[in-house]
Amino acid sequence: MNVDKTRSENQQSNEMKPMSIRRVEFDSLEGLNQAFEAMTAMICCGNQGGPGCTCGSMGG
Amino acid sequence: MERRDFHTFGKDGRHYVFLTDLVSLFEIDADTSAVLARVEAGETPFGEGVRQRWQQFCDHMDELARSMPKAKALRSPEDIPDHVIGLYLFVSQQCNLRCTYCYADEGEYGQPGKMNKEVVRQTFDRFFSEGQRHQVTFFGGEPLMNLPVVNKTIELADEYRKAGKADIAFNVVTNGTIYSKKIETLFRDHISDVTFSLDGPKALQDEQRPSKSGWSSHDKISKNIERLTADTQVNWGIRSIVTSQGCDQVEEIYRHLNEFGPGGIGLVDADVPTDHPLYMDDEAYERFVEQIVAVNRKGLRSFVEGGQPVAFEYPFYILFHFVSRTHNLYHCNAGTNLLAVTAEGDVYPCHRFVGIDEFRMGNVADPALRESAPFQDIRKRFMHTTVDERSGCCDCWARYLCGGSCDKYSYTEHGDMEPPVERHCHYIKTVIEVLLPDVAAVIEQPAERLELMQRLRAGLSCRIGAKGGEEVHVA
Repeated sequence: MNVDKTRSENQQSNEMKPMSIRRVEFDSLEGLNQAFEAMTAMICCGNQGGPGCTCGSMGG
Repeated sequence: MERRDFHTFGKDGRHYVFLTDLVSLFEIDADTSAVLARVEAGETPFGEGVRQRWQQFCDHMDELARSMPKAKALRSPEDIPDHVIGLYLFVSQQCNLRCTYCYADEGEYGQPGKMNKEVVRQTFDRFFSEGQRHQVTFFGGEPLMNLPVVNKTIELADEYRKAGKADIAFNVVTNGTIYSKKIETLFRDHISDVTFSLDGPKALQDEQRPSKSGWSSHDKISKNIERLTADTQVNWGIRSIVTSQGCDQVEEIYRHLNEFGPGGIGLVDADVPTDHPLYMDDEAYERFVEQIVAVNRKGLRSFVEGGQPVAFEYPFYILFHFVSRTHNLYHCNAGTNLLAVTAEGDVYPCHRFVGIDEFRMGNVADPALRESAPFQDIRKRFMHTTVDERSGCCDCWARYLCGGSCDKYSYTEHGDMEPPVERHCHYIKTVIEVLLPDVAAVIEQPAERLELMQRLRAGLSCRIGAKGGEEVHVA
């Protein structure tokens, strides 16, 4: 069973395309952390706090 | 690299891998994604081809990791300062509503009463005398039912500020049903942030949040939100509790709350026992999550397309972590830099633990409170419950974006703070998997990225109270 699976995988691997990896860059938004924090004030701890509920879920 | 260090997923024919420790996202080819999915699922043994591709991927990522700055922890145990940053002050353990899902015994927490000014003074003595900045949230019950002590607290804060002992900002969480000129003045002059509790359209609100005297809570809060936010710099938002009654109306609830203007909107599922009629069963909860994701997706599109400037929070939550490349080690600051003080002066790790004896840290009347064994033991217990230490979290790919479940929710479900709440895990993973590719697509389109940045700056100026900012609704 495993032998068959391995043979099949080896066959598959020969058909694999070359590995392609590209990093999604978020760097251009650096400096906007304060905006992100302000825009997530209601998400906080999800626990009936609110803007500035001080739960610290965003590290404050 | 181990299984716990990555997660691969696909959306709209594209394939991605998220690297947990680096807090980074990569688009990858379909074949590599398929290999990673098998490794992640714990499948063995592999054929040589799969093994080679896995090794190739690991080598590539190891090299990349060496060239990138390491991600930072938002707060690690050694970074946590000794002083309290946020404090919930239960000025009133009485309420004029009897909400059907209230976890607090109609706001009384088993001990109905109002805080007196001596408890306020003792609270200040214990926590606010070291020249630090603090945030006090008036909470209840309905905190505006004890306006004299609210005002006394503000007077005392002014004394402390003048003496250089503390710089204190004030927030309120209110059901919004009480209005007076004094409250309007209070909001205008002294309150930084207000959260109104409003569940949705009139029928839903009045069903879930009935008054004790028979009037419509929806009618009162609708009028009062307008009056209390009309001529003020205060930041404000609306929190809706979603139950089995409202779980199929999420978009309708959102639209209704959105009509009140440029405040934030928060939607959260009710914390009720599984046998409670308002508890969402698994199917209802799944529909709730789907709608939350749908509203978030619409909000992001609306935000970058320049139509009605409406946003929903999760895209920005994701952006925060990816741009800052930070690890969330905790769900929140409870028990360390966040505490709650009841009307009687009892101290708890946060507003949600109030009334649970196991978590009573002491009383503000005790001059040695902060050095006492119960206080220190509970504080250490919270401090050491990082996501890396929590069973069920430490091997999760989403751990640093999540920080773990709410300690109170875990305690309610498991009698233990460490194990995660499965629903919370499903919620946060779903949000990330669906929204992260959307956010990435925006970032990769120069025009949309620019629009996002401009609107974020405009939104920030609005949210922090500066006049002239473009109105942006956030939820």
